[in-house]
Amino acid sequence: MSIINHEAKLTKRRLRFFRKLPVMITGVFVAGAYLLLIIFNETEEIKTLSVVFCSIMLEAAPFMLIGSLIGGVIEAFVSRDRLMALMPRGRVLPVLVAAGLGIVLPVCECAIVPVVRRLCRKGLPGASAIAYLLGGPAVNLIVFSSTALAYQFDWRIALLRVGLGYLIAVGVALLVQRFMQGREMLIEENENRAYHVACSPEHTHESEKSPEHAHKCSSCFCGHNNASENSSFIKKLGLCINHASEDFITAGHYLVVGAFIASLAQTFVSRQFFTSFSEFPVLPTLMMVCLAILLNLCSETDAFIVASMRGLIPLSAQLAFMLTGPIFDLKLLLMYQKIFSKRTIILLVASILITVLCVCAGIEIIEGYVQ
Amino acid sequence: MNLKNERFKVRWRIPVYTAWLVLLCKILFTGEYSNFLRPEFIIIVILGAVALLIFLVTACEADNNHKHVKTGVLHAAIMLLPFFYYLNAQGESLGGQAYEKRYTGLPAVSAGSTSNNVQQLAARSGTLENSEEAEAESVDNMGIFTIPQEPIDVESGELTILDLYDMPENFMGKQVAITGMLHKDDEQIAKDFGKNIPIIYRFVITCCVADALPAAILIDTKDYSKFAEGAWVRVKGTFSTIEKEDSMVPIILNPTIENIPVPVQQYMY
Repeated sequence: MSIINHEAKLTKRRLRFFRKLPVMITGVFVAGAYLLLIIFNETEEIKTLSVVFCSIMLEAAPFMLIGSLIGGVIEAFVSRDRLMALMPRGRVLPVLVAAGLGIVLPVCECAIVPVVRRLCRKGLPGASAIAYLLGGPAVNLIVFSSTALAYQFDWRIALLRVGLGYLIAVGVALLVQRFMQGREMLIEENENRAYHVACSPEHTHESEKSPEHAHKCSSCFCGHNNASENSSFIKKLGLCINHASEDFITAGHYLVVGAFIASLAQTFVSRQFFTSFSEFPVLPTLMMVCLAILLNLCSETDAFIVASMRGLIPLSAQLAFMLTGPIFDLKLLLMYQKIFSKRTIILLVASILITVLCVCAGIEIIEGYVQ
Repeated sequence: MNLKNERFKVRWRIPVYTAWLVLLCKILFTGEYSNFLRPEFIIIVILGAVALLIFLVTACEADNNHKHVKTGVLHAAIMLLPFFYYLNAQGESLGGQAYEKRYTGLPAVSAGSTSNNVQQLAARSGTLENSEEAEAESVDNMGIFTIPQEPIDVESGELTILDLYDMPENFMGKQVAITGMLHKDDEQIAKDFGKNIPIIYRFVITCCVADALPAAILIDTKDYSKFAEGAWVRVKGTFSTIEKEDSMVPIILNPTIENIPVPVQQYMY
């Protein structure tokens, strides 16, 4: 009896440990970041790190604030019924449309996360959410123009980038949809569930009808359809700001952690290392995928970076950098945790990497054949 | 005690938003944003500041009984990280360390327009038939490479390195003056040219410092030991290019170098 009790206690302890593990890792990370600043603040490396980190934050944070506000508007002003009415029916068509939505609604990768998070809350199917999440920052006119500009108006590269970006977004979304069912893709707080930690445990959808509910539920994710209420414009505006603020804070700390790791990579990793494998097949592509993940560059600027490496790496590797950056990097990996379940993220990342590598290997073969 | 803890969990947003708002306002009012971002991004920063101000006001009026994330202190510590790193980044810019990490190959200007000019220059010098020979015959003149005997046109004027990169053909053989940071003992250049050649460089920003790339020009001189590594200098001399590995590498021939104070605008956009 005592042995069973002992084992039960051990299991409980282990569970508690694993539950606290992410918080402990985050704690170590934060302590490390502050210690680095306190101890080595006079060194050139940390000065560079500080400048790069601040610049990434100053560029990304305003976009994220704007994205959060767009998410807030969707939450407060667009009803679930209206959104569902706008979505095409079927399994493939919504994915095809969502992947190309960036042409109409161009949103960068930092701003798109809170927008997609709110769209998921409104009932957007998981596969369509993935398609828009991946397609939005890669398939839009701003990215097309910046790529053309970086490559001195070589329209073929710009078209290839946007075209392949669209195909990858569709392909990955359909692939994930094949292995996972609808709402299973999303984390619990994005689903319609009875109550949420932000609300009291007694809070259920039965209590939504109570007059206090709208106030109490102004910034939680309980699935309460704020937009469907017959509330005034001012009230909806208040809800919009509350939701936007919540989104910014929730996704913001992932952005900070991701940006910090990217700044470390930018400060300490030599870019020449990534271009030194150009004589080998496939390896340059693989290295450029790694570089894109580490650098966390904005999709509007990455073309300029990789264009400076022309002549050093093959076209397939250049495309691998431009195709990976907008859809998967360190900060996005962390931010995806606020939308998708862990299983979905693993599947999503694997699908992205495999698809990008396959596409770029194909281009490398064609490149070799043409030459 | 419990009441105090609860209030902190709710209220930690206020110092976070305040710190971020102070940061954005400071870089906006002092013009410091151009040390981190492209100047045109001022509009985005203003929009961000307005959004933060709205969030701050709503956070101040938030319902105290509303429970939020339990790891409030940790969350706040993460969100305040950029603010503390900004304090360390004030007045700083990318330098030699960043140059070395971001260097991906020899600086090169567009070859099409300059190759003819190089040949013209070489022909005018009377002794050289092509740029490779120019390199080979770079005997102990004033510097390492051959100086054209008769520059096409001599014109004085302040330029940026980008001007020379964008329209090299317009400045070939002309007297130019550019400012930038000095990088003295670059291993890669020593490997490529078989000797140490100093370079003058500045970082070019597309959107933010994270995407900054160095634009560099070789300086044809041996007399540079008195200048400190990473010092801001003005280099005046004749602009030319040399061919190396199928690319045209820009160079300032017959240069005079002088120290200058750190400019307000350290980057090029």
